[in-house]
Amino acid sequence: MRRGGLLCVVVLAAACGGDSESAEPVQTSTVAPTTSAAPTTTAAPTAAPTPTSTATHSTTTTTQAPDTAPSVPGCTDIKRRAPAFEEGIAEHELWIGRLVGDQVTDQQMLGSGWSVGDGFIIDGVAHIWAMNALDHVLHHATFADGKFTDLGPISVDGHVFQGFIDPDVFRLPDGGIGLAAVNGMRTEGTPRQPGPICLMRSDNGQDFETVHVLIDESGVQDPAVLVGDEWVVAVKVFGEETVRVMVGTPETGFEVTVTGSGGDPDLVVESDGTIRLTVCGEGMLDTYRSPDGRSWEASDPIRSQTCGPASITGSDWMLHLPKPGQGGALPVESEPEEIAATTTSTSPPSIPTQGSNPFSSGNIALRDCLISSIGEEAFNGLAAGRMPVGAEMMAVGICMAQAGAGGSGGMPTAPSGSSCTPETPGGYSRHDRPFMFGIKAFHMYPPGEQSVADESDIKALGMNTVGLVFQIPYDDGGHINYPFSTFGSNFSDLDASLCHIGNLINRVKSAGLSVYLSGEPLYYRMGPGV
Amino acid sequence: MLDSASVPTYLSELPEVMARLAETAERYKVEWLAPISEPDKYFGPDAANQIMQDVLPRFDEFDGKLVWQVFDSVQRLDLRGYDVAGLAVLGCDWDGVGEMFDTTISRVVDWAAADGVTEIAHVEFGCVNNANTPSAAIANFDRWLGATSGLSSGLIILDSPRSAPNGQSVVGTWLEDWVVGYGRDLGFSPG
Repeated sequence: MRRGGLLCVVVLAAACGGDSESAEPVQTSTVAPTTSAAPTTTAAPTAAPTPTSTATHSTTTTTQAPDTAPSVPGCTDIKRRAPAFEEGIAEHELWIGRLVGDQVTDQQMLGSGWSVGDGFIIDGVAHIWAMNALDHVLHHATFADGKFTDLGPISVDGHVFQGFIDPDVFRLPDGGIGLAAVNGMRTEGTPRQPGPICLMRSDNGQDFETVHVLIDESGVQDPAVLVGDEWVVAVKVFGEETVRVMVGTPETGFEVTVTGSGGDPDLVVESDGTIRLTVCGEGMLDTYRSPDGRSWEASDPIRSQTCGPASITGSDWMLHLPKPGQGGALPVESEPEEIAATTTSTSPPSIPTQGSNPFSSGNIALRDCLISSIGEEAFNGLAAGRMPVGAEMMAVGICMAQAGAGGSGGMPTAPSGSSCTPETPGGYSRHDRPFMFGIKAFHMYPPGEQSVADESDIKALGMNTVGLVFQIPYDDGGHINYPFSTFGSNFSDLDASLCHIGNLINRVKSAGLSVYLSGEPLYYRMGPGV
Repeated sequence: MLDSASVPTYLSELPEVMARLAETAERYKVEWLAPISEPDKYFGPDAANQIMQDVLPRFDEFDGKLVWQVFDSVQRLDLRGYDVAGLAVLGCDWDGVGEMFDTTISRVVDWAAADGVTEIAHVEFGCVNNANTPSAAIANFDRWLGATSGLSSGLIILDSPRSAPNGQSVVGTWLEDWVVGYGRDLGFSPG
């Protein structure tokens, strides 16, 4: 799906629908094709008090399926997990901005630890549903007067649990709030594929009930839905940078009308009635337009370097997920061949796209960091104007953040394993305590990240133990991968990472505390400086 | 979260890292060590059972206690060879009587007994998000800790990172009061 080209039209047989006997049918007799997806306008959401009366905190919180819950094979019979912290999205940043012309402007970060989201306007207030890292559950929130208000996790069939991901929200024909989301990963197949895309319904935006399977096709995710006489559904193909668009109805099934390259699809109806498909492209957002969801033509891209687009239907607001620490969507003024393609889950660290060459700017800290990471020869190449490639990009992101040459800025200098020297253990022994009473403090970094700042704070609680975490980074292929960055710390290799945790252990042990150390997998390319 | 297709690759490369982790943990006299925390969450129960047994020889020279920290697997986990069965009870104020964590505790205690694991410990406990109703959380805490009374050899309270929205911190919140009070009941005095 290159800009300027047409999508290739591929009409395939329907492959969805779900179990019509057990599914509760969606009302279809009153389908209004253009009212469910409000046209994009230039009007901002009007000021209104939040939260609105239609959104309330969920009070149902168990994780076992109740006897009265609807039975929808594929949606209600897959294991539901208790809410739990999800490190994989902990450093994602959810931003909102206005789509003006071909740029995302007037941006504001809604929060870190927030990921894939969607929303629409209700009574003048932008209502947003987005994944939250703390519990890995879809939360309902509002955005008004520049204030983002978390209304808490949603419930599905009376329960709050983790499992549904990649939300897309929309108005249903009966006026209810529709939610399409992927039901985790299927239990069968090798490799396991994303679960079916389920349709849920709510009256208040907080408490949803399962309606039926919307798309029962294996290996698709990230749904975007427009409801009408015919529904238009865009999905991303799991493990590929490929988007499919399908047209049909839940009752009759869907047929694939187009496929093309890209990720994180978003669908919205423009003010002139045309449907706009926005996808993550190569360094910016690609767009396509269609009168009916069947025939598509490429249109002007949105020249902003970000990903995860999700229009707030009924406004010109757009949610998006730039690279952590990038500072929002960056304007792109030229063809970005050198800029890495970005997707929600695999976005590389930020690299400069215009202006002077930061590698030849005389920033000594940046120079030293890069030379230690990629070698002097490679650094000289960058200083001469060559663009970073492959693993160099990771090093650039880390070093620029550390050196204050872009990126996050403002953070204290992060521990860097490249300069770490393992300390000689103090004169302590291994304690044999009858009871280990302590606090999980992760890395005790960056300063202020935990409510306990140091060993004295832990002792002040009467504790004798600290729980620390040794993270073992993995890349997209599952390989253990260095360098990696996490929670403001950057490590060039395994030695550096071990050195850092060893010295931290040495410090707390020397203070008389015991240690519970746990190894934990972590995606290797977490945002620098976060 | 690791893509399921990537798990075999990750697990194949893990033993080498485990060996280095064991060296570091022994060098600095770490008391308790979970080679991988909650492997059932990351890898699924079957792969978790496999890798947790496979890596055991890498810790032969580690003289501290090895912890098998369970996430929430319903499927039987193989805890053999470990010293401590670790519970991650993070139901805060939202889990109820007879629900998820009551049954998880009971299950893990039974597995530990069957596998000859002599110690049980709450190795990650409390609230991920801020409790809406601290009194309900405290009632849950009392029940969960009561369920392991006389069995548990540890309690590690989660201190959610402040960068995580709505995370439950310990110091400066109702949880600090509870922690200090609970510690006093056990004979721990704030230093």
